[in-house]
Amino acid sequence: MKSVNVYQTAIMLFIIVFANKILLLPSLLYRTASAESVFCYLIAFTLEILLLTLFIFLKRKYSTSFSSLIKAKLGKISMVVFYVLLMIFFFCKCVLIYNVTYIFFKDLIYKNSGSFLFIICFLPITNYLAFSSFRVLGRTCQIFFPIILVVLIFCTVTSLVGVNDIPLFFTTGAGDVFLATIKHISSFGDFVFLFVFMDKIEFKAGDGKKLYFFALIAILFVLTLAVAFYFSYTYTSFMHPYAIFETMGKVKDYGGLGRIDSVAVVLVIILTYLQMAIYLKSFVCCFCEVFPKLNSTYALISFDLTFLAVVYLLIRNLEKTVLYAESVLPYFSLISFFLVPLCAIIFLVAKDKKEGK
Amino acid sequence: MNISKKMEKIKKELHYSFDVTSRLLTKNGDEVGFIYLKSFTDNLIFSSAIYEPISKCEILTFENIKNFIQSNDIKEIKEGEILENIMKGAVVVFSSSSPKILSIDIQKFNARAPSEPPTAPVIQGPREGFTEDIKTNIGLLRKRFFSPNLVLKNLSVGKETKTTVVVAYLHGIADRKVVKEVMKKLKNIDTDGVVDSYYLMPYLTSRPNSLFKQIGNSEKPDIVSAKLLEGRVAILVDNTPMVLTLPFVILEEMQNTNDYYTNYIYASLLRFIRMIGIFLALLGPGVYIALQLFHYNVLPIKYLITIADSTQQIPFTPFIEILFISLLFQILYEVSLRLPSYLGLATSVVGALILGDTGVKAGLISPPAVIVVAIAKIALYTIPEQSAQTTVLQFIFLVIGASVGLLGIVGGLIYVIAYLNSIENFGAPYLAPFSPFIISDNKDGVVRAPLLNMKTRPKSFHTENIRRQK
Repeated sequence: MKSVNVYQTAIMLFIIVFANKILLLPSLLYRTASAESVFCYLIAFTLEILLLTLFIFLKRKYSTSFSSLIKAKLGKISMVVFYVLLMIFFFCKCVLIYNVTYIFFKDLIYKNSGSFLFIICFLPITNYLAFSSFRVLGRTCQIFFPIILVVLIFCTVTSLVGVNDIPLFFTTGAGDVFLATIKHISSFGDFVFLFVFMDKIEFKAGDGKKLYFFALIAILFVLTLAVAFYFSYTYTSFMHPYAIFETMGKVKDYGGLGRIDSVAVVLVIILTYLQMAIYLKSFVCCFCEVFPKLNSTYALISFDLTFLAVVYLLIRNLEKTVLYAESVLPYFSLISFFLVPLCAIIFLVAKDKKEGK
Repeated sequence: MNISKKMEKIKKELHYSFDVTSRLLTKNGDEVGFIYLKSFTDNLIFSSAIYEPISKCEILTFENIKNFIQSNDIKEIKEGEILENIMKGAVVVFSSSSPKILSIDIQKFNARAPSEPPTAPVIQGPREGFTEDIKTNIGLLRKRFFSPNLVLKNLSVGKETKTTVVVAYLHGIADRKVVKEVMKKLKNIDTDGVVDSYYLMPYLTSRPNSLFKQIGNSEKPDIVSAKLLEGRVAILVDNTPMVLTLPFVILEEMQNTNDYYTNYIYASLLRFIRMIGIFLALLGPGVYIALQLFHYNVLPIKYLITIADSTQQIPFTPFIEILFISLLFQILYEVSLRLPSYLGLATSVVGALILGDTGVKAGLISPPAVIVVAIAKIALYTIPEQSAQTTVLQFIFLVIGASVGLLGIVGGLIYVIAYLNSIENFGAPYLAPFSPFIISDNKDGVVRAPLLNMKTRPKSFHTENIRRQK
C-alpha cells in the first residue's frame, strides 16, 4: 500500500488548517463577535485538537482503516452512514473553499474574466491530484511546504507591520462569541480527513507529537494573522472581507518592489489548490467506501457534475456563499466532523471494553 | 561435411558479402579452414599470429592448431555461434581432424582516443571521456577501480545489431534486486537494433512516454565511477560514448562535475543559482505575460509605465510578441546547432544584433519582452541536460500564463510536481530527496556539504552498504 510518512501527514494537516480562515472568516466573525472573534478561533481550534487527539488515540490502538474498524465493530450500516456524512462534508468544504477563493479573485484580480476560467484551472488539477495516490498528494504538499511556510512568515510579519491600533476587547458577551463560533464552524473540522486515510499513514510511537507540533504552528499562524487583521482595521474589520490580502495591503509598494500583497495572492492560490485536492481525495475515498463497486473515476465524475451544478446554479456570489456557510452548513458540519466521529469512537471503545480487549 | 563445403555454406549465409574471406590450408591430407571479415579484422595479426604458426605445424590435429595459435582471445564455439563470432570480428577456424570449432578475436577498429566530451567540460578535474569503443570504455572504468568488486556483466541486444551491452556495478554496494531487474529488462528487449544507449531508455523506465528523463547518462568516466560508488548501476553500450546510470533522481541534473572539484561553499552558491535559473527559464515568460495581461496592478508603477510606453506601438498582442521572440530564438538555436562552427558565429550576430535590435527599432517587438525571453532562454542552459524538458514546459507555461494568468501557472506547477512525484524507477522517488524529504541526501542537494561530511550513500534508493566513510 502506498502510504505517507508522518511528516507528510503533518504538512497536510498544516496546509488544511488555513482553509478560508485567513481570507473571509476573520471579517465574518467580526460581524457577530467583534474583537472577541479570537476566542471563536480558540474554541473551534480546541475542537480540532480534540479531533486530532482522537485520531492519534485510534491510530495507536488500531492498525486497520477506520471504515473496516467501524464496519467490524458497529456494523456496515453505521459505516455507510458515517462515510456518507463525511462525503457530504468534504463536498461542502470544497464548495466553500472554491467559492471563497473565486469571489476573492473575481473581486480583485480577474475582474473581466468569466467563471469558466476558474473551473478550467481548479477542477483538472484537483481531479488529477485526487486521482493520484495519497502518497503523491502527500509528497506534492511536502514540496510546496517550504514555499508556503516562507510566504506565511512573510505575510505574518508584514501584517504585523501594518498594525496601527488596538481594538476594544470585551465589547460583546460570551453568547455572541459562541453564536459566531457555531455560525462559522463549517470553516473548521478539517482534521477529520485524517480518519479517512488512517490506514495510509505510517505512524510510530512518538509521532503524535509531530502532528501536534505542526497543527499548533499552523493554528498560531492563523491566530496571529487574525489578530493582526483586527488590530489593523479595528472597528471596520467587517468591511474588509479578504483579511490576509487587505492586512498586507497596508504596506503597499514596499521598497519599490511593487504590491507585496500579491505574495498573499500566490499563497492563497497554492493553499486553495492543495486544500481542495485533500478534500477531494477524501471525498473520493469516502465515495469508494460507500459504493465499493464503483472506482475513483466514478467518484470524480459524480463530484465534478454536482460541484458544477452547486457552484454555478446555487451559489455564485459572496452573499449566497455567506448564507450557505452560515445557515444549514454549520449544524451539518458539527454533526459530521465532530459529533459522529466522537460517538463512533466512544462506541468503539465501549465495545472493546465489553469484549474485554 | 568437408571444410570447403562448410565455408561455402557460411559464405552463402552471409550473402556472399565482398569482405567475407576464407582460406584453406592443407597438409598431409589434413585441412584447416579460416573464415573471417577482412574489413573488420586485423590482417597482420591473422597472418603473424594465426596463419603462419599453423602453417609451420607438421601434423594438423585440433590440439596442435590450438597450441600454435598465438592469441589469448581464443575459444571453442558451437556451430550455432559461428556467424555471430564472424560478425564480431573473429576468425573462425575449422579442422578436418575434429568437429570442434575455434574462434579467435582479432577485431580491428580504429577507435578515437578518449578526449574531453563536449557535453561536460570541466574547469578542474579529469578531462577523459568515454569513446564509441566499449572495450576502451570498460578500460576507463577498470582504471578507476582496482577492486574485484567492480562487476561487469555482458549481453547482446538487438536481433540485427547484436550490440554488446555491459552492466557494471559494485558488488556489496549496489542493490542486487536493481541489478537483477536491469538484467531482466535488458534480456527481455525484443528489437531489431540498438544504435545508441538512448534506444535502451524506454525499455528500462516505468513511464517510457514521459517528457521527463528517467535514466541518468554521462560521457565521463569519473562521473560514472562516482555514481557506481553511490550504489547505482551503469549500462555501457557499444558504439556510443553515452553511459546510462540508474536509479535516477532529478537532483542528479542539478549536480555538476565541477561542483565536486571546487570549494563546497562556492559549489553550493552555484547550485542555488542553477535552481533560480531553472525557475526563471520555466516560468519567466509565462509569469511576465500573466502579469501583463491579468495582474498588471501588481507591478511597481514605474515599471508599469516603462512597459506601457514600450508596448503601446507594438502591433502584436503581448502573447504573440513573446511567442514570436521565443520561436525566433528557438529557430536560431536549431540553426546554430546544425551549421558549421564558422557560420554559427554569423547566425548569432544576425540573430542577436540584427534581428533583435532592428526588431525593437522597427517597433515589432518591445525591449522588456526581448529581455524576459533572453533571460529565460539563457537560464535554460544553467542545467543543459534538462533543456529539452524545460523548453517544452516554458512554452506550455507561456500559453497557460496568457490564457488564465497566475492561477493557471501555479496550478500547472502543482500538476507538474504531482506528476513528477508519481514517477518512481527502481525504487527511487523521482523528486527525492526533496519529497520524500531525506535530510542526509540533502547534503548533496541544493547545497553541497564538504566531502568529509558526506558519510553515507544516498538513501533515495536502496543500497547494500549505506556507509561511505567513517
